[in-house]
Amino acid sequence: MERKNELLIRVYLIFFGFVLMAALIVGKVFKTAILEGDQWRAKGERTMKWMSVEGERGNIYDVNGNLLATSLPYFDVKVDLLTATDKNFNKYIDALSARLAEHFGKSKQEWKSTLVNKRREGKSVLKRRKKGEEVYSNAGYYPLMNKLTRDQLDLLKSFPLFNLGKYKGGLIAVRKTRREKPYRSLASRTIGIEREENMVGLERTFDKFLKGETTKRLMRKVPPNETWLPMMEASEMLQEKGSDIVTTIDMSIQDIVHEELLSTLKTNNAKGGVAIVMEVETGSIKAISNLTKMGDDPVYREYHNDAIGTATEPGSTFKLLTAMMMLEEGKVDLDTEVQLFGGKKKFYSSNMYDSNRHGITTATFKEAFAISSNVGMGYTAYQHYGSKSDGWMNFYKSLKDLGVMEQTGVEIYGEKKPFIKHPRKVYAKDEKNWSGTTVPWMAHGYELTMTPLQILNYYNTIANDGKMMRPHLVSEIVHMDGSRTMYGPQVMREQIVSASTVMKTQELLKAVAESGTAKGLKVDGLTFAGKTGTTKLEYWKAKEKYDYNASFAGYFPERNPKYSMIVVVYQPEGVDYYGGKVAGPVFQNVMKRLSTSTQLVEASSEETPAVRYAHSGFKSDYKKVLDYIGLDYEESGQGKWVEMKSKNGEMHLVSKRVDRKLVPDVRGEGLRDALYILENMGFKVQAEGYGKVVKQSVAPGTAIKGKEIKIYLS
Amino acid sequence: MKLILKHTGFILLMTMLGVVHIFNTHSAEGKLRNIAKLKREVADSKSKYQEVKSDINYKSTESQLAKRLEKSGLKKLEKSPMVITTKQS
Repeated sequence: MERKNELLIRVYLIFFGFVLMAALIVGKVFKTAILEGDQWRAKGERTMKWMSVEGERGNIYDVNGNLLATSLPYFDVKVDLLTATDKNFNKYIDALSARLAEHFGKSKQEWKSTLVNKRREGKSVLKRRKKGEEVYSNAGYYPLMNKLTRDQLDLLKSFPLFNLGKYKGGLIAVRKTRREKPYRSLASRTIGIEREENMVGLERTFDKFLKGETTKRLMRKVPPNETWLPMMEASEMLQEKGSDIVTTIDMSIQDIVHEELLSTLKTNNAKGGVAIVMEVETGSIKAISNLTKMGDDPVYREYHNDAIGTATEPGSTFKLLTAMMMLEEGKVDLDTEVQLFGGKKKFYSSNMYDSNRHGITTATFKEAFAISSNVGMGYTAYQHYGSKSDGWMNFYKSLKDLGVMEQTGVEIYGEKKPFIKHPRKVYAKDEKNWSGTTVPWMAHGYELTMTPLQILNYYNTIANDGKMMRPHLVSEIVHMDGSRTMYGPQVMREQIVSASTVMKTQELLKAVAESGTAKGLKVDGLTFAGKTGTTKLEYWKAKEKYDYNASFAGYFPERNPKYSMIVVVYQPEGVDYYGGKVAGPVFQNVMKRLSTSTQLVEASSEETPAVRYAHSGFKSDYKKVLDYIGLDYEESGQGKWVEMKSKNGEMHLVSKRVDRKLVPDVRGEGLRDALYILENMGFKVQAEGYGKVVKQSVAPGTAIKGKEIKIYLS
Repeated sequence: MKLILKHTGFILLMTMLGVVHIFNTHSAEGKLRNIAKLKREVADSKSKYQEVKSDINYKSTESQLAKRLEKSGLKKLEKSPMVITTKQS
């Protein structure tokens, strides 16, 4: 019994010990959480805080999935020099300085003295603070380096002292992102700029999709300079990423267009230029370049999206619309005779000139269009729409019916509205009012303004047999959850003018390319159609020398057009200023270079080449090749070796006789086959030259005497 | 005392369950940490990949290639390719 009691007492003792401990813990929790709770929470809030952080921005891609804009991380690195213990700091400072000097410039001594001094300063500040002094200083907390790549950061982290980790080594990396365009200046204005204010391009239009979700993260305040840093490792922070945007831009085309436009701008010392390539069937913009030279800077850069945001007087490229309108309303036909007055005509007090004094008095409408006669177009329009009573209004209404007053609605903020004056409206500036000269001048592209893209859209429509597509740059948005929002091609007008007018207009543009102002742009084996434009600037002023804008708009190939393109060169200052000479070559070269891909090449000649082959070789090789290409052939004989002959234009594989006792005929064979046959028969072969066997030293068909043979290839 | 002795089995079970619970919580936490770490590595690799790829993309544009290949004598294709068509018989 006694033993039992003793045991019980011990057990109870232990038991009460436990209970006491538990009570103490509960009591302490109660004290901290409830009695002192507010005080602790307040203290916590001062050094820790939830802050909103924006998620990573989505990417912008081209049509082939190439990156056009992306956010790349970079790191700003700081060191809290007071983190390391004296022991560690003194032990590693030499090695650390040496590594820093090795990889990041400056000398080992410089690094060492900077770090040691900063640490000393920090310590003294800390001491003064402990004494109760208010010291504002971020000594001890040293911004080591900015804008490091991830590789550089990893390297830095491997250095002595820093490799002890954040809490022993004191290295603090703050992750930031910068917007990067891998293709540099290519289409850069259209891709856009992401910034706090005045965003441009697609970055602006699609900002709400690209922008990542704003999330909260816990930040802590780091003494002594009271900076907010994330609680977790910098790179651990991953926020909700924004959606990706897939554009219709094709970087391989963009590259060509950019290069060609740039070279023309340089040769002609122009102020700037625009080039747009659009896919005829869909209205997808494949390439868009805007280059401008500013001030003393000799380099052409993408400063402004002139293709979309600048409306100027289009000049002769606008004649397409006048022609469409007059053809549609039956005012003229292709062979209607029009007056050219030798290239000069006076309307009221203003003279209208053709670009050269050709001296032609009359021509068909098609001829006048092809040589881009301003007088021809202006006077014809004047004849039909010149009367103040109803002509002006009809002219205005017909243009309106073609949709000339409308914007294209392309996804770039800031598209300029076309300016087309109204006959009855009174404008603030007198010269903007409709007058007697308005119809003939508008007819050849003056007294109105449009953007290059708006003009191009009409050429695209004609190329697309009258179906007007909406020019667009974005084909889909890929959301982070993998779902997609597609933006398919959009039809603006199913049929802008009647099919016969479309065909006649195509005929006009073809005539320009074949015999008109663009005939110099011809390329062998390629076809195109288009219109040149040479716009005189400030033509109403009397000047010694005028500035011009040169332009060319068109499409290619002429039959089944694939791409439409406009090139505008602003104020060339070289010898040439004509659209066909300055802007045309860009069109020509882009067409040429795009045509090196097979999809654009049409079979240009129908002729069947005569089979003149004098080849011979291994039969199954021939059959394999011919079957693969899909060519028809006949065969005769059973031999393994054949000669290819022509028979009524068909290919004919005729077996060759290979007799063991006679010297074989290897003429027409390649070296490999000839060697195979001859060496198999035991000949020692000497070969000379390249190509096919043309001659052999021992005549074929003769009885084998020696074992040596020489063959000549050519 | 009797009560304690009587329920020894149950108490042991509870203790064991407690141990299992603690172990489970710890391993789960460990896994979460690991997931976070791997996620970070994936993101790291992705951005590294993007850096390299965008550089390559730029260098592989026709105009950049042409510049680099100038010395080696390689030139841009000037002629359009020939299209061979067969007559359907």
